[in-house]
Amino acid sequence: MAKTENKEFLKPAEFARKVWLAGVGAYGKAFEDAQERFEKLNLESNELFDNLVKKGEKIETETQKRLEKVQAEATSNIEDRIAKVRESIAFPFPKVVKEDRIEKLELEVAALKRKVAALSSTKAAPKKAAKKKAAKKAA
Amino acid sequence: MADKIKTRDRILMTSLDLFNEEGEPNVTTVDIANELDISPGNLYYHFKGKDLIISALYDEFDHRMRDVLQAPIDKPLGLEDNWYYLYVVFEEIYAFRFFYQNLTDLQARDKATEAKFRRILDLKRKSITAIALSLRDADVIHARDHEINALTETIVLTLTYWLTFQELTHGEANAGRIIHTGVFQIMSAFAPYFGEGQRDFFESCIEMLNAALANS
Repeated sequence: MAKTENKEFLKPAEFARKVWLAGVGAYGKAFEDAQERFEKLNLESNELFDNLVKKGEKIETETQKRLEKVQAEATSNIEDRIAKVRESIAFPFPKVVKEDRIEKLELEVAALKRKVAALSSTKAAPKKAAKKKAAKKAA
Repeated sequence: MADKIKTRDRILMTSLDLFNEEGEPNVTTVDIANELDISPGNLYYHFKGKDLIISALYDEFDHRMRDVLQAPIDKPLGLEDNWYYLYVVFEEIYAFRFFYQNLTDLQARDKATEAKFRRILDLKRKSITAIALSLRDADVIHARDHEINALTETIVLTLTYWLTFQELTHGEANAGRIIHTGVFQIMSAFAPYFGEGQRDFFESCIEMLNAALANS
């Protein structure tokens, strides 16, 4: 049992991703030199596959980066436009809101502190309470 | 560089202006060619009819509107920016207003456009819901989920028909007035859900609007 657990094997999803990455790698420049090497090494397929996966990973990150860049540009475009509107229109936002919120949070923290204190005292002194009860009964 | 805009783009920009100003049904390809000072043949070389110009413009609108609507879905805007963002959405609608002034025509044009516009409506819903939820998280509004759904529908309806409604009510109106009043109409939809601290804010906003409208 333990042996099979230790043995490294690819989960189906992970494997599918690697196949995908190998595909991505094959579309990149990697394709030609990989093919050349394929002929030379003649069926050292594991190494080829690993290589393709590596290159695929690189291309995937690059694609991802490019995508993120496009997204960031779209967002900054909106932010710029919002900033422009802000310049011409100044909404009378209430300044108190934030203070209110801090006050509310402070109250919450205080309440939590009390709860924690109550919990730790009941935990620390169950015997005391029992003693008190006993004392009360005796009296 | 800048003065050498491609003829195709110049045709699109001029058509958009003319459609917006005169109303799309009142503009012919000859009008567009005249405005551009090119021959109708040259225009025909780029677009084989008005419908193709309209659908190219629609694609441009679709692309830009998606970018705008996607923003609050991808990442919450700054709390105060939510209100300014509404101006940006209205600006986008106003820039392509001839579509919004003729939504029934747009729908009747072809199935593809109809489906695309439905996706825009759906994206509007998602975008407004995202804003409402972020306002709720920040305690600016207090609303239950079904209230947020209803609020979203009202706002999407307002965004979509505000221009037509303004035209029906006031006739020709300037862009500033239409967009200002539209944003405040949407704010009023939020108003019943504002917490105590926000009521004064809303009151001051109304004062601000009245001042702005008096100046325009």
